[in-house]
Amino acid sequence: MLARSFASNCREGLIATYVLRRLLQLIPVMLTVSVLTFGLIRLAPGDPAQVALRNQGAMLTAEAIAQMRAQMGLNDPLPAQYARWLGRALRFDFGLSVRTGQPVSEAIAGRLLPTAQLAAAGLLIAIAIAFPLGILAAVRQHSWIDHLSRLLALAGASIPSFWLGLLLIYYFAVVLDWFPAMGRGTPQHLALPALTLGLGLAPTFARLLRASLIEVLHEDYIRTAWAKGANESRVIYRHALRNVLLPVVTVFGLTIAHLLGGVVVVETIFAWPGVGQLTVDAILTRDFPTVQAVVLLLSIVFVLANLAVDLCYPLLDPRVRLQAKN
Amino acid sequence: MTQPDWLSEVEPTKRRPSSVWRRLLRDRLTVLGLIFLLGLVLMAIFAPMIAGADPIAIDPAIKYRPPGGDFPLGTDNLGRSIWARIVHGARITLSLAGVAMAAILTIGIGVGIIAGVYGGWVDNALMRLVDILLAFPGLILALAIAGMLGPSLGNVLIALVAVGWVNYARVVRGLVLSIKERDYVEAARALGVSQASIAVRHVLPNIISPVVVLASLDMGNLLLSISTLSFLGLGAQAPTPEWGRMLDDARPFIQTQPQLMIFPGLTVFLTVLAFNLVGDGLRDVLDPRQA
Repeated sequence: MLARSFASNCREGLIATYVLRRLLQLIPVMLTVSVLTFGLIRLAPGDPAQVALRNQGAMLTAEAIAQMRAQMGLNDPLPAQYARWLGRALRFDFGLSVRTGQPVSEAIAGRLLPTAQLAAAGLLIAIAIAFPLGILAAVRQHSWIDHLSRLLALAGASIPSFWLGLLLIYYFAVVLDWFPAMGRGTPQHLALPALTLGLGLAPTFARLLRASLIEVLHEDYIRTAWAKGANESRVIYRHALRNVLLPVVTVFGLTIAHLLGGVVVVETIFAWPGVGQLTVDAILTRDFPTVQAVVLLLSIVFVLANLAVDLCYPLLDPRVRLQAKN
Repeated sequence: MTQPDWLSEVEPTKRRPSSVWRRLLRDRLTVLGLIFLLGLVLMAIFAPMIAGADPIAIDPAIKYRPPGGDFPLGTDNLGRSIWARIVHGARITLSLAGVAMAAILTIGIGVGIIAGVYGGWVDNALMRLVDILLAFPGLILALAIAGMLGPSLGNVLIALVAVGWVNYARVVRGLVLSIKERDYVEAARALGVSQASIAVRHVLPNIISPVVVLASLDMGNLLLSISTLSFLGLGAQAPTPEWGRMLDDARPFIQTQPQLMIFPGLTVFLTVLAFNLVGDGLRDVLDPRQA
């Protein structure tokens, strides 16, 4: 039987086992991600100790370099260096920023809230635009609004987010002077960055929502609902949209990478003091400890978000049958 | 991340190229995209003749000229013709994107076929590597690789290829696994044809059209990544006339000279749009559900 209910999945403890198994699978993934992240700075030409000294403005004498190498543990074998780095990273100790001398973990902690605000506001704007547009385009297939949503999706997929940001700054900050162009402080500061992020995501959201809604509208139970004499809004809101939830979760999963990339670009344009701006600053100034920490953090967020999406399937769709054994 | 479901529907058989072209040219938007891209390629090839001015030479006496006359799109803060810089930028962007895509396809298809055809521990090892690379958000990983190697267009190329091949390897492996089950491959194997020969003679021709669709839809993203990395300061360095670089250079003047950022941005937008139009058109033609 394909249609095993959510209740029976629960009764047999399958959900708990599934969640546990998926969490365990994370461990090797995270470890390899951490190895790659650690190895990342080995790509950089030159001696990390010399880079650190140069960043501090110190003299590059042989003595100073040797001392810095010893201090940074660069004379140990690589596996030992990695083990030490990982051991500290597990305790959120990523060392000191080469650029500011501040602990990297503190610098990141101060950036989390602004980025979370920006991402949340951007997602809200994307949803506010995409839902009406996607639903109308699906219900009135081949109408003008469907064509409009197709054009918008095409434009949205093609416009460089940094250009969109600059255009919004020009019209809304320079010409109209409605919103500040840069920085963070008042709620008004959030408007343009969030709009840039949201407008970039909305067209893809809308098209994917339309596609899944159209699929659902062709299901047997929708025909049944029509046959019972239910009116259009009842069919769409009670029967169709509920079943769109699952594809929407998938869509969200597919756009997480876009969202993270978008945050980096948008924060840079608008001088928004978040994790994305920190990432670009750290990379441009070769602040290795910060680069490692931020890349590791963003990858973990990415992996966890994808996991959350995967975990939603058996919870939302009773037809997803979980295997008792691997 | 799941494979887009249309991909499994793309017919893995060869169609006669003439029929593909004819059907492709029926769609007006696709034709528009193709014409734009053709124009862009010609522009890149004949850049020195079309530009009408040196893209790099500085002349403060003629800065901030409005569009018109010798400078179709005006001049920038250093008196360089924006049109000349955009025209020369086409060379950089198109050749970089072309080389990157060629490398991505070579590695991606190669790894995918090897994993799919040989299977076993080879497959396992390669797919674990793919899983690991997919655990990073793409742009962030490219950003970090390019940043660590140092800001230059060559390093942007390396970073984009390092991140880009992964998806192709995964898709090609899936296609190979399904093709492997077909009767004609079975028959070839029964006749004692070697693995390598099966891969080249039977598998490769059958994965071409889905990969072409994927690549044409991906070209736009590749272009966006190139200009994004340059915009963030990791790609082309001044005074190279690269489009993303030009936008970054124009940022300080957004209040007084907005035209400096309008034209390079518009160029990136239209180019990516053209690639997406052609990609959509190709998908429609090669996707039997649309036929």
